[in-house]
Amino acid sequence: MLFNSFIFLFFLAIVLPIFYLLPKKSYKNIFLLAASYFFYGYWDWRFCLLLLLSSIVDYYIGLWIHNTEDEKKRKLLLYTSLSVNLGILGFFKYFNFFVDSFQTMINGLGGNVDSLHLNIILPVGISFYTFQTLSYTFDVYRKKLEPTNNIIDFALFVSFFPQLVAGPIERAKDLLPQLYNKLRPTKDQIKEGATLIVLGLFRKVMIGDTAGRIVDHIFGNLHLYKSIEIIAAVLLFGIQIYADFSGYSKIARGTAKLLGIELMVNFEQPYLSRNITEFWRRWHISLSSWLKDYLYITLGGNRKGQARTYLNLMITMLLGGLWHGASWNFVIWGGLHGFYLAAHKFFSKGKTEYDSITRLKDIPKVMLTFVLVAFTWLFFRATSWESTQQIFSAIFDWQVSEYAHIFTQILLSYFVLTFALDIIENRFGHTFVLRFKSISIRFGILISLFVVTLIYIFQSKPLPFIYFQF
Amino acid sequence: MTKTLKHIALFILSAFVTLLVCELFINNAKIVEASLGKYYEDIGKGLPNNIETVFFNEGFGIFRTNHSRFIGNEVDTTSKNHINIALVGDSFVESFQIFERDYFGNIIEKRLEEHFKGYTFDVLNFGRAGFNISHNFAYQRLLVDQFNPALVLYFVSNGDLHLEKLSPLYPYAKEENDSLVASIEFDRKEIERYIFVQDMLAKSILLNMLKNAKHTTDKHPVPSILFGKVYDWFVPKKKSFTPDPNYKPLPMVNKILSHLDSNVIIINRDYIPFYKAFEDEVNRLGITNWDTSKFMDSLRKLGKDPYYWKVTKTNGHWNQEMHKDIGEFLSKKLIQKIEQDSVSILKSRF
Repeated sequence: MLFNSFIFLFFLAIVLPIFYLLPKKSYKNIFLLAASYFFYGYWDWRFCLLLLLSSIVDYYIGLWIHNTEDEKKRKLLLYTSLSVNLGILGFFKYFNFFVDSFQTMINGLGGNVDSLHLNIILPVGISFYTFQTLSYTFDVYRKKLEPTNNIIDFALFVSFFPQLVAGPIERAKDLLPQLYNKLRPTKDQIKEGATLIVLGLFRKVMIGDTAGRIVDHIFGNLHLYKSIEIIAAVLLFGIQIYADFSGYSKIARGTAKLLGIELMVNFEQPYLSRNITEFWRRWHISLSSWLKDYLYITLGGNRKGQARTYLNLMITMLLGGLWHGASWNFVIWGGLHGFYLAAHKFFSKGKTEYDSITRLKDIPKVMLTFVLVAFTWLFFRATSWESTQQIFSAIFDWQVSEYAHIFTQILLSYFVLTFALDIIENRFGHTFVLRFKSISIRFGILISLFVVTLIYIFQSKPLPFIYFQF
Repeated sequence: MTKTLKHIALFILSAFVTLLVCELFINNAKIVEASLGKYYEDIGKGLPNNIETVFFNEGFGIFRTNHSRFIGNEVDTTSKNHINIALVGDSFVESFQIFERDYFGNIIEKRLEEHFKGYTFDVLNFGRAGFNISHNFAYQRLLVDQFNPALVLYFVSNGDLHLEKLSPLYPYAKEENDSLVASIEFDRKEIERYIFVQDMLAKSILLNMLKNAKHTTDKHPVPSILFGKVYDWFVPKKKSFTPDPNYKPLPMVNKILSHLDSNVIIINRDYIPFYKAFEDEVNRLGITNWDTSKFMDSLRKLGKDPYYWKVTKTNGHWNQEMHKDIGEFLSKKLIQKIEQDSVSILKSRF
């Protein structure tokens, strides 16, 4: 079920009143669990079985790890959880990638391997909930978290529908304790929740989806387009993916607030970053902090000397790239970010503190960071090496477009709105509309944005969120 | 009371400012295309002249209309070694789904100029969404013939031979004292209503969004838009249109055929062959006709569905590959035709 569809609004209109009316904590959690499974099964009911398997395995492993002091047994249980979760993820997401790469390599060396490619459907959001359950097992193993002994609460932690398919990847220590209490949203949560949903929908639909139409057409038929049009598509993709994902995260947070749950902020105006390290503190925060806590630090972080720090950064970002999808392009994307981060660390000599407010004087740094990030989006969106080559040859073998002025105008419009919204958010917070004291002004703004978005959704097919495929 | 009025005023003001910002963004980012219609006293409903538009549907199109109210550059009607070829038909000919440079007419132009050295060609796009054979005929008389085309290609499918329902405010063929004329006789109130709506739409892109939403409900039932997959669970999909095997050409269709100029070529633009009775009549009258159905079928067998748009995963008008293929296909046909009729087509220019 897509957030940017009418069916989701109907779903919410049914779920919320029933949820509010339920008297007990246990009823509320059982109901939310059922709603979450319905939400997920709306794509394909078979996906629910994987979710269930992952939940059951980690629930019991968590308890067993907690109940034993035998370090060997604890480690064995941790590896079992890792094997099951990463095994499922690996099979569904990476099997074809590795067998295809293997086949290409062997055939390239003169061997002859028949195709082992399987027709596998990737379950929506599998990378997100796998990482979420893994964080639970890690934290229990590291004795940072008491496991829950209520399987409903745990299953709801894994499948909580607002953040199930595209995050934020919540930590058990943040989300689980909220599920132990009777969920009852406060007035502020309801106000903030509704505001976030409207602002998130507007970003996702009116900025992300509309930019995405141009991006998809151009990347889908690169041979038909001229140099400037392809460059415009790359830049627009930067806008699209940000609006799409941050819009989704806002709706997720807003929906959770309506249920009385606080989710972590996933985006803090990343395109206002003044350097790449800051960008990664503001972009997909739940993933970058997950990678930092469970991968980078596990590898040794910056505790094992300068060379090892750079290597750890590179490994973390390469795997982060691969997390996004089974393609060498994602590996290159991750590798570039790893290189940028290492270079920034080297030149800044480890000084990475920053002022959370971006100022006018920061414009050159912001622009440079944006250009560096936009370059990496080229690899991210191209998805195959052939497309990447086509893009580079279109850029180096310059072809003049008769529509350059139109593409410039379109780009400017998206940039002005995206940056304007980010600057306002940076100064006045994610629910900046609520800063107006007059309730009439708040309603005037939110209702107008909501109506415009709904009209657009009505007249066009809803586009899925880009990160669903990850 | 004052407090309530203040609240209402603030609400209206904030809503107005927000909508204005949305309007500016949507307009400049070309998210929603402005309505492409204008009423003219001489041709009825036509394209606005001298506009540049971005269009999104199953494809992504950018095109300009010229001073003469059709897509393309201004046309040369004076040079002796310049030849105009007109394409008349419905939205398939109009082709809002692609960039103007990828249009099949441009491929034809290029191939003809390569083949007939010393001549220049313009292949003119007179397509209009919703046109049938009656509209084609009338449009030719009222607008196309002003450009003195050496050949006029009518792109027609079986659906365009059912004239029971004509598109409103488009010129149409009308019988008058045993002859056939192009008519733009419409109810004045209908014209005024159309002009009023177009004027309103020209003022706001948000109104165009509303119009598009209304247009969506013409194609899909509202519950299917609102409930998506849930609607499909309960309501079976309608069967697709199948051609009527017992079709007999309407008297008006026969009349149009018998009044066509000798430079008109009828082209079946669909993958389904023409109705037998219609084809027989066309042949009986000796009208040149080209059937693309077998050609399209062969493309399908090669895995190139001419109607499938892989980016939007929808079926619709001809995709870009088909434009290329049909451009090459028609170029060959036209080269043959021009060589055969060289006396009347090429030499008459001198």
